[in-house]
Amino acid sequence: MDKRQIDKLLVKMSHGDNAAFGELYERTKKGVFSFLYSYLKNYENTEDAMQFVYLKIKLSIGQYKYGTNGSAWILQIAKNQALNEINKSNRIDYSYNIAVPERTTVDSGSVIDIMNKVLTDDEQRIVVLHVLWGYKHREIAEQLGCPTGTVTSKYKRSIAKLKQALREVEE
Amino acid sequence: MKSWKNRLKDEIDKIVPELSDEVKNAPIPVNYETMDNGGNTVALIRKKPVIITATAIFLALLCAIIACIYIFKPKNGDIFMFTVEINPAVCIVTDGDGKVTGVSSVNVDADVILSADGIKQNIIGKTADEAIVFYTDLAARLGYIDFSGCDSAMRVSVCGGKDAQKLLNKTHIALKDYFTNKGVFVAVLTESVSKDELAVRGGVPHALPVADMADLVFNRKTLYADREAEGASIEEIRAFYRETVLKNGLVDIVGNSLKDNIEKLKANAADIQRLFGLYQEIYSHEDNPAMLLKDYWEVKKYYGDALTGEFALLINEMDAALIKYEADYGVKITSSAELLEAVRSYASISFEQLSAFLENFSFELFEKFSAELSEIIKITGILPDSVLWLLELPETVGEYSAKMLSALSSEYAVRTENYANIYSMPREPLTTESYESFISAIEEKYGSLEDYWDNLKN
Repeated sequence: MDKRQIDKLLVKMSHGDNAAFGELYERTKKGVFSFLYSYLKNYENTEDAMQFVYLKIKLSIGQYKYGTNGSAWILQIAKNQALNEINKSNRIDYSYNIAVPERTTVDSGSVIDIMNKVLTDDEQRIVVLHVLWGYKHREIAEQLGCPTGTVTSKYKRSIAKLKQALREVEE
Repeated sequence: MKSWKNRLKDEIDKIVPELSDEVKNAPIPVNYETMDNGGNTVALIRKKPVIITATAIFLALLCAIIACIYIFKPKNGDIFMFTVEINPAVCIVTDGDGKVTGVSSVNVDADVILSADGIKQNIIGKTADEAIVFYTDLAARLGYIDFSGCDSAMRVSVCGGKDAQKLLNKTHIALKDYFTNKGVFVAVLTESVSKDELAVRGGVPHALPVADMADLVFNRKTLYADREAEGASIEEIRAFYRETVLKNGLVDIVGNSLKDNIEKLKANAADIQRLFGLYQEIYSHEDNPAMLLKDYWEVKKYYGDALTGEFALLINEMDAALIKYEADYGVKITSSAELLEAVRSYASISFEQLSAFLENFSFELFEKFSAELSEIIKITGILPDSVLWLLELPETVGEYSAKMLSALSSEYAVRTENYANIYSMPREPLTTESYESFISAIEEKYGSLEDYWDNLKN
């Protein structure tokens, strides 16, 4: 994910460019979805949360400081939304009743499904941030608030677990 | 064989949802303090803040948990429920370890704070004293506590375990310390109340055992505006939106924008008339080659390069007039429907009438001429599309939610900006003596802090 491009799109958005918002969505949707899913563990809630995150991005564009890390800003909004939902004890009932387009599910045995089963939450997030967001281990360490060495070793361990689990599914 | 990384990306591609129409269509709130308008900078009005006040139904009690001198740790199993009332009113629930587990608004002003990104997350999980200082400070930054005068107060109420009064005393001291360190005179009223009273103050429909009330607060929707929409008909939701967003907020922006751009409106009325004159001339010209669709845009579309003579000159004149209009107002008129709509608006409320109305602008006036005023605002470009969008009543619950969030977000941003100077002005901390004199003076004048509070709020 090209971080400079994200920043440029956020700048365009701040001038009211809705087309830039559309492009930003296309570029970041996979990363945001996976990141949210690593917290929420539930496709229905993740899909609902996606709508809210992008609405927040749009409405909070005035709070973004240009030239700083746009992808980190987006991830922070996503994280806040995920934590907000996790803090509720009951079934999540999104406040905003924003209509969510037709839903889908993930197949058992898919990579996403396997990640959810064999990796810890932190490991999932590290894999998502590295593979889908293109973050280096040092950047992931800053994002998650842990040493770079920890991120590196967790990432290696995650890959090993994932590959092993995928082999077992294919056999 | 595809790598697992590519498989992962493909799988996510298939399941990532599309954005809903509400999100796609929600306009991006451009900073409307200044707006480029075809090269001209237009200062849009926001001299005074929009006050979104709650309906009078739920006067909330809100308690603030304040940092204490003593380390007070409620016994496990105790639950404390607080309401903190400044004007934004919130309800806070803590667990037996004194950590905040839930917070929700009791009125729409609190929605402005709690709807902002990350705020609720910053409150939950904090110890009670950290949470309440954080919240009170936010309210001050947004201008809900008047840092410039000596006529402010806040009320903190608590109900819960048997140590509630002890916690309240420490809360009081912590709040006093906060304000004296900030150098501002704000009276703090703290009360330990019955669960019945707390239910009223916390916006709980009926009094329950404290633990059940706390569960209810914890599980209910965070924002008051969302709870108002629950189970309501679309008409009731529109009425609520009208009252909170339009009447108590946007109508001031509209009125002030119109007043600040009166000369521009005058010029616009004249320009629309000129354009209409050209439009009519083109339409009825004897050399107009069209049989049925004789207006300027259709003629240009079908005959553009084939026009000659005087009629072609007339078309060129209209070309130039439209280009100039776009340059002057940042608005492109692209069809006869748009031009005629503008003409109709000025026909219904002439510029002279508008000038007279603006002298006594009111919500009722705004409602009476909302269609015309919206069209005039749109055609002059004096307010951004995001504000125009908010002026229209929502048609669905989803649209209501999106518009309410946008209005709250705008309010948060504008208040932060408007009150930044007052909040951050350097002040000498107050001495204990001066603060106590301030409280004594209030008690002497009003009889008690409770009476002072009632006087302020009624």
